[in-house]
Amino acid sequence: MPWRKKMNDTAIWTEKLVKTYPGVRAVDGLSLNVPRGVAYGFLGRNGAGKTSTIRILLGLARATEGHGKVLGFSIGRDQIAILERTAYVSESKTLYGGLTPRELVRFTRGFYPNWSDQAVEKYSRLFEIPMDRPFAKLSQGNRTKVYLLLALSQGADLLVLDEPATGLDPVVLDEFLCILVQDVIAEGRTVFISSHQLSDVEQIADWIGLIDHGKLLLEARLDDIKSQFRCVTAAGNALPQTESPEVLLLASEGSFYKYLVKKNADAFAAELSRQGATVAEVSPLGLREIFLALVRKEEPCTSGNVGGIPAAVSSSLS
Amino acid sequence: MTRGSQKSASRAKRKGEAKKVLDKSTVAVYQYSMLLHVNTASGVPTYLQIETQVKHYIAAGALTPGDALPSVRQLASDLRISTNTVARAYQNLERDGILRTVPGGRTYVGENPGSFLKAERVRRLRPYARQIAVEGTQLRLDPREIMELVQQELDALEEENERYSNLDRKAR
Amino acid sequence: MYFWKCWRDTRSRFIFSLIAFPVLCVLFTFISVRLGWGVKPPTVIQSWSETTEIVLGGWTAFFSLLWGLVVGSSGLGEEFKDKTLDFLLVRPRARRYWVWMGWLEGVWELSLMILLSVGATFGTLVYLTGQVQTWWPLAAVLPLALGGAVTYGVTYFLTLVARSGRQGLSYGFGILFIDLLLPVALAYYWHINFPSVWGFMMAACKWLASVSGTFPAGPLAFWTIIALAFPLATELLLERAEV
Repeated sequence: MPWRKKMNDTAIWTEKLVKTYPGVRAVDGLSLNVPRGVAYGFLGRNGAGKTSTIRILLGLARATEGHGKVLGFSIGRDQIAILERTAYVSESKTLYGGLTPRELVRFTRGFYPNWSDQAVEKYSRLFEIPMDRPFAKLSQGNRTKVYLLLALSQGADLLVLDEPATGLDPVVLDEFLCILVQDVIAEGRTVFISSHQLSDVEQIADWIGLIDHGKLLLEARLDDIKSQFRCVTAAGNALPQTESPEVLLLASEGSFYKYLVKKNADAFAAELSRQGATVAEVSPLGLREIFLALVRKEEPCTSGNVGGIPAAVSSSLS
Repeated sequence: MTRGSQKSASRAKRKGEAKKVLDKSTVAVYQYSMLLHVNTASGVPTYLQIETQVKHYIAAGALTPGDALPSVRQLASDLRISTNTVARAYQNLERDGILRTVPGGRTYVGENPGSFLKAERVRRLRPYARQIAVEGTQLRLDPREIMELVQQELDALEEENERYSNLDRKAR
Repeated sequence: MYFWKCWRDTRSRFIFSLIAFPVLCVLFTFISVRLGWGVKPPTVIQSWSETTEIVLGGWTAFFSLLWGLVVGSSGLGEEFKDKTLDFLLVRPRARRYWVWMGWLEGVWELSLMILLSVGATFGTLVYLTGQVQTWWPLAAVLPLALGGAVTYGVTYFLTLVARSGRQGLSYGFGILFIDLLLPVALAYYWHINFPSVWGFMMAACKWLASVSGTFPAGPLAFWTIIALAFPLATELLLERAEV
């Protein structure tokens, strides 16, 4: 089957990457591992270190410590080789206001031997980009489209997208996702998406990397996360309130406790039963709930964060 | 609307032929792309959703042995999900003998019942049976009620089977 | 490709300058000759080369210096302000490429303007005095371009340091101002010979206008080095910069 990835091929690999700015550790010992040919969702709150990481990967900033490789080339030392094969859509989609998209294409294509003029044709038509209007006069959505156009026509092996959906209406976004699947992922190229739009990331991502305060909290296949992470709701008196690496207490109200269990949820539920608690539900979690749970650990959640208390429990107690 | 069916339709128009050029496999692909759907926001892994649905449609008779499934690329593109997810689902189903991929690349529904011995098939079903037994007991249902439930589901599948075979007959 | 982009970006300003610069030079040539600034009545021969020297080494040279400042202020530093530097530096080119390509484009623009202005000035001079004693003054393009390149390079560098064209322009202007006045003051009061870019341009134009006297080879070498040193400093600065 053509879909089996080459096992030793990673698109992005970093080892204990650190980036400090005065007073702040923006990236703190980050060890990323992004396989080739997948869609990798890089998630985190504002200020979590996503943009700093991306800037290091692209050579815009220099890491304080640690090193990494992109597409097999060392960051820093072989940066030009990386840039030849990487397309980047930055968060602030600014370009030269005086140039039209057509001129921007003309400017950009000279840098890339794998540039595809047919791709420019196809995508400019699909996205309905006004090719002869100065960039400064384009709406936010159109600006994003121009950026996407330039990135997609580059023939890059790796697409690094920072908030690629800014200003895109649902129709265009849908088209874009379709293109990502057909022209990028299906061709064995890698997509690295950094975004807040969890639903878009969840739609297309194979892998998830969750970063918070510069540290990688979680990196795994999304499917595996979904098949192993469970929300265990239980009622009882002597329920565990402390946390272990695999179990997080999400909420507690009276004698009700809600846990996020990362592994072996059934065993955990069985253990609780053995201790005399009533396990009401062991339910799967969507990405949004997992994200919120892992990133808001310090604050005790109010009910309504990760779903309400299921009806079955209340009825069994009445 | 798969590219396949569009291309063959326009080809026919160009040739000026009145007869329908859509053959059975193209219809099947068209139908089944519409049948399969996923909810990526759910807690159930996407590849599992696809697997479950394919198995369901086979059980319900919507997909019969020899039917062609959409290619990985086509299905992924239609559903707007990663090709890796679809590939994983197809691979798993192939490993279980439910789907079969030919060297040309197309994936078909396999001749499934005959490929395994009865003992093997029973062994595969046992975990699910155990799960029903455990869940049913936990929910304080008695064995008769549990069996009734299972029978109802089997009846519903039978009904679906009927519906799909009627649809098939009309489409020809 | 960056050359083309810079060229395209400053197109309107260039066309404006291409007209304004020569026009200004022609205007001042008229004023100089008609009002007799620096022209002593007695001999025509003397006055022709002196006039040439004053007009080229004076006004046209001064405007060249100013225009160097203006062109320099749209250098790489502006990319910082417009936040387009991200986009640029992610293209597969060494940072050195951006600095020198941008610089080259500015030098090219400046040279065209100076060429036209020298031509216009010299033409006006010939028209007003009705004679041509020597064609050498046309070669004033070279020292003038060098002078322009100096202010251009300095402003180009300062624009990157300040990360803003406007600030780069003000700093550049400040430095030019100092280099115009300081050498005069030092020479007058303490008899110290401080390098003056305008002084060099004047001396070169004098030599070209009369083709006699000593050719300012020392200052030529000095200012050439300066003209190249600042873009080099810009390169070093950009290579270390965090974007």
